[in-house]
Amino acid sequence: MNWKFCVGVLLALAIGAGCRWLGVPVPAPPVLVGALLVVAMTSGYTLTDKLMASRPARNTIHCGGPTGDTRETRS
Amino acid sequence: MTLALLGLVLALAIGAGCRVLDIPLPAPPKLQGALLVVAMTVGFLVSDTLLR
Repeated sequence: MNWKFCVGVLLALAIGAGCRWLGVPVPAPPVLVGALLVVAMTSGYTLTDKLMASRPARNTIHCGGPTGDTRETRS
Repeated sequence: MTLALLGLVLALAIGAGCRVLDIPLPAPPKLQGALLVVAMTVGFLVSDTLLR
C-alpha cells in the first residue's frame, strides 16, 4: 500500500477526532452508513468507468472531493 | 438495515449513472478519496465514544 495513502488515512482519522474534540462540524457524514454511501457511489462510478473504456469520462475533474491528481500529473 | 442496503444499492446506481451520462459525481471519483471520508467519520465516531 502507498505510504502517502496511509499518511492520508491517519490525517483523516486525526481530523475526525479533532473535529469531535473541538466541537467543530466534521467535513464528512457523522454516521458510518453515510460514509459508506459515499464509498458505494464512488465504487459504482469506478466500476462503470472500467466497463466503459471506449467512452472516456470528461467530467472527472468536476467531481466532488480530491481526484488524487497533482498539478504536474493533470493533463 | 433494509433501508441502509437500499441506500447502498441506490448509491451504486447513482455512481454508475453519473459515469454513463458523464455527469460530475457528488463524491470523490477515486476510491482512495472515498476511503479518506470513511476514515474521517471513523475518527469522529471513535473519539465520540471515547469522550462520552
